Amino acid sequence: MTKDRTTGLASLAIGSIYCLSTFRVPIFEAGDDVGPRAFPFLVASVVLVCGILLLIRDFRTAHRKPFSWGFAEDRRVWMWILLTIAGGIVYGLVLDWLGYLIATFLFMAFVTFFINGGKHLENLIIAASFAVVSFVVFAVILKLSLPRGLLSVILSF
Amino acid sequence: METVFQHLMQGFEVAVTPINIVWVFIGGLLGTVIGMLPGLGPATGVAILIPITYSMSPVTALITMCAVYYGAMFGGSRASIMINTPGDASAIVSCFDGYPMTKNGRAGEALAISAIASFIGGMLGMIFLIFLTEPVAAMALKFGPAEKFSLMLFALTATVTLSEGSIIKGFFSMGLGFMLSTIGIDGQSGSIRFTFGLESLQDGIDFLVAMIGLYAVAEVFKNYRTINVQYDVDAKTIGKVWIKWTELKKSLIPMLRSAPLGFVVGVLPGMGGTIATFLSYATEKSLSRNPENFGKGEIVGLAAPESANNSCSCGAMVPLLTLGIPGSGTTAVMLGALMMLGVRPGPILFEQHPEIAWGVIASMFLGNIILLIINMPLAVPLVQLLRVPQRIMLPLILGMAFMGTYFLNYSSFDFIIVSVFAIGGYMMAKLEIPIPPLVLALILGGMTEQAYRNALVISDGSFATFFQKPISLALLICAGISLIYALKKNKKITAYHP
Repeated sequence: MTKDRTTGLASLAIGSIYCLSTFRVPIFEAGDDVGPRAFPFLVASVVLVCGILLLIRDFRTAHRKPFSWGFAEDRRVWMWILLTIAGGIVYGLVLDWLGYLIATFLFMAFVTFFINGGKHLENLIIAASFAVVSFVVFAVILKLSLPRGLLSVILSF
Repeated sequence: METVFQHLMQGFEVAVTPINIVWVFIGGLLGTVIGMLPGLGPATGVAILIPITYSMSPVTALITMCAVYYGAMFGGSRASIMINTPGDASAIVSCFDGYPMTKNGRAGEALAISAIASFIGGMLGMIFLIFLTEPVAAMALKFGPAEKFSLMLFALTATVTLSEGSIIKGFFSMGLGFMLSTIGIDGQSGSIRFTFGLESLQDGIDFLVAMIGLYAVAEVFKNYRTINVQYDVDAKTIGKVWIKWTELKKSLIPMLRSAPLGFVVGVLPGMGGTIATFLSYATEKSLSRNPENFGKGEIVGLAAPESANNSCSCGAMVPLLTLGIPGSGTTAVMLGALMMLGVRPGPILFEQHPEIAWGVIASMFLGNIILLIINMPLAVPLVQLLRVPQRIMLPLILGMAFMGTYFLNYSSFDFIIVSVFAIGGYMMAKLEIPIPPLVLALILGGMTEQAYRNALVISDGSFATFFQKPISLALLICAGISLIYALKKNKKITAYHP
């Protein structure tokens, strides 16, 4: 699989799904005569044409360079990416409940743990400093509303 | 002419207040730091520093964002000079002679001339900007829907064709951006489109959330590969950040020559700082009496592109402020930040809120002076930051990116959106799909669709309207020319490297 072929197939897949979804967009009596489907159809056709052109180019290329996502050789990078995303989503889910300070500390401790390795004390200091400094800057100095969560009794200002 | 000066003076009255000066300093300093970090360019800097403006008045917020943008431009070349690793693509050229200067023990001179050239380029760029904004804004007021649609089509086509990478992939990227822009409730008919039943998507995708994912978080992902790199910056070897008069005299004409060149490149959509700096470097090398010195630590080879780069960033403000059309990823993020602050750049801004438009322009003058002050005496402590290991820097950037995302809408659903865009941006980079067309199409998508539909409603569904109006036709011809030029250029490249 080359980069062109991968991109071409992705173009065709995305363009087709989008085109089919455009047929399902409801059209109301109100609004302009052109309607909410016209522009999406135009966009879908551009993406589909791009997909076809990329596949043609790939087919006509004599010396194709194979492309790899690097799941095997860059295993650590992909693992870290997945961990970051998982950590970010969990951070979002617990933010209101735990409050900004605790949730941010835990998120930062988690990412420094896998990025910075086993220097636990350094990681905890970075995580705690980031959470406290950002809280002071945004919630205290700039007076932005930040969730207090479990610490709402102590941080009731 | 008189009104331009009156407006500028009015702008200075708005911009020059103690609080604004303090924020220009802080914004410029933060922008310099972010712009300096390897791999993290101005777009990332502006995207993750938006939250600092939340509690400010709109004018102060705008001025701070401009200072961040400008600071990132100043800071971009610090890493090129010190560690041969550009902060962003437009700082690549600064490596050519900046790093050899450092190796020759002239790091102090290199840092000084880089700051002075950025200052001169920025100041000249500002002067061109002042004289160009009013006529462009006045002309843009006459644009109807057909002209607006053609203008946006031209801007996007030029971004695809003039930026690096494959043209077909560029158009695919643009298509993706348009697709994403159509998610949510259609403003003209009220239909809910492409939300796949998710209520959180009804308001559409927040542009800035997408930006933080595509630029900040995806950049961190890319840097995971080079996590163990440790840059060695020794303060003792930098010496005094100053420059001899003879060296300055030698660089003066090249700096003055490069500023208008950079500005023109900046005004054109799709041609950002990268092209401006390369053009300026090539021009100076061909005009030099000693071209063989270029690449070995020639001061002109650093001064000229630095001047062109900052002048280019002023040029990029012309279409942004007068037409509301960004020409690069960074200016697109700036547009997103302005819109979030309730300011819609475009010709109407100059007519209805001249104090905001001119306040921003005046603040850029102020920013330029403050940044020169930051970048000369504070250069040595600032470059020390390059010693902070990636292992510590990357978690901090991640923390700022997620925190910035939360501040945008106080919605934890945005954490999912930011993650999707981050992994999408990383995969696009792996497949060599350019990201700027997606970014521009995403932010201009709503307006493009509106102009397209309005033009067709007015013309009773006839597409001829886009070709019958002279300005619209001229813009479509420009789009066609940029496409043909790019195709020819590609053919030439393929002929040399089959």
